Amino acid sequence: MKYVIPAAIAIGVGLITLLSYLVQNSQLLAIRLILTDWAVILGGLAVLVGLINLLLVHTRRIQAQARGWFYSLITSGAALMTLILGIVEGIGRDTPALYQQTSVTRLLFSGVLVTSQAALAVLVMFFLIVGAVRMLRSRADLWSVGFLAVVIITLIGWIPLQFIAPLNGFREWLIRVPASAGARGILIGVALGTIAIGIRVLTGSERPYKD
Amino acid sequence: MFNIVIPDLLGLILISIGVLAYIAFTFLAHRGLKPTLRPLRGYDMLPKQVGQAIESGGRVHVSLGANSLIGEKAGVTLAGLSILDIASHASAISDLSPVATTADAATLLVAGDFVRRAYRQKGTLERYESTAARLVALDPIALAGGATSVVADDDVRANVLIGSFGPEVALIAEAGERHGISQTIGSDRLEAQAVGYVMADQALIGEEMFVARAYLTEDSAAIGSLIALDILRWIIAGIIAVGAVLQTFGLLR
Repeated sequence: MKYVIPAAIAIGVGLITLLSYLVQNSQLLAIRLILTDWAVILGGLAVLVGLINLLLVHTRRIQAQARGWFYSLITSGAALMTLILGIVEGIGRDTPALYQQTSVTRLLFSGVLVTSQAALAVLVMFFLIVGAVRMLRSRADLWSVGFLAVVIITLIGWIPLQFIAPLNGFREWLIRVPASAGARGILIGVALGTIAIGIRVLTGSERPYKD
Repeated sequence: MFNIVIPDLLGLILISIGVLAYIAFTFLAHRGLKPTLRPLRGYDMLPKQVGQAIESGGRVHVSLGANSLIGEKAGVTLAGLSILDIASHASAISDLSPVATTADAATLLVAGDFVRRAYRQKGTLERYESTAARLVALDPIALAGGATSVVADDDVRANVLIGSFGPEVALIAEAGERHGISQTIGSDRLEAQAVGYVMADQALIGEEMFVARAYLTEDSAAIGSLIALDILRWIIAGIIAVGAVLQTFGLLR
């Protein structure tokens, strides 16, 4: 029973959800919406557990004076401070602190989190270029050279200069024909993989909940 | 009462074929059918990568991305968890638990359970670290930033990044490269697949990330689903080819 009940619940819920997408029926849809609401509530509660996990990981690192423990101290302090601020600023208000125009929580979100993320996102481009150069050093085969050549042609093709107009056309063809075809093929593969794993869940052979 | 529209009917038929093929081939695999699988470099190397990390006294880092078990990316999350399961079973004989990082709280709970279960099944539960699964952040870029510090500070010797990553996966891969760690990257998104091709030792392209169990275990259900996946692929390729021919000759409007 320890295995049968969770499997039966998972398979039943999965089947109802799947059928409600494929068959247009108002009762199935209503059940699906209720199940989705439950999932969202559970997901929200899991965030609290996640916060405890984050504090636990970093507290242990601080206690053990592990490498980089000072960053753990900053992380834990920032997490606690943001939590307390969010709770205090939300008391007696209709809207959560993050959505209040003048709240410190909102200021922290836009001033610290969003800007840090933007900075990290910019670094990605540099890492990619360094990675491509490293790839040529470690794997100098035909595919690597082809990959880099296409990247360079695509980048140069964007420059709006008259004398490289043919390159611009070639870039457009590259994106429209081989890149689109390859991308669609890969995405169909991903969709099929998702279906395959979904079927395994629906038949109870993929059980993330098993003991 | 029940209203089915044509595109949905096609989906229903395809899924039904998939389910039937899966059941039939799982049964045959259970009875001893062993298909010859196309070699995938990613799965040839992954056990070696994990083994070397354990032998050198380090950890395996499995990052599951910011995708959740709730919603349309659940399949990707399950694929990542399958690989975490395999890495956890391999790591359960060593002194250090693998580290699983995620940006989704629901996935965190399941990931922790996967690692703990592997240790219990191997009879080494006393070595299990309760902080093996970690919620690093709640969004993809912050996860990438946080995971770089895990790679740098936690004796990580193998980096396995399987999830719905975008280009930000380059941040974690760069940290891995800086520390000379072998890396495998698999994502359902094209940008991360391109990053994986450039920066990782092995990249899992397209549906490859979903077939880990079929390649790395003797699980007959996984082999059945792999064959079902191939059958569905041929059916869809056939539909596309027929559609292209019909369209070319003006027979499809």
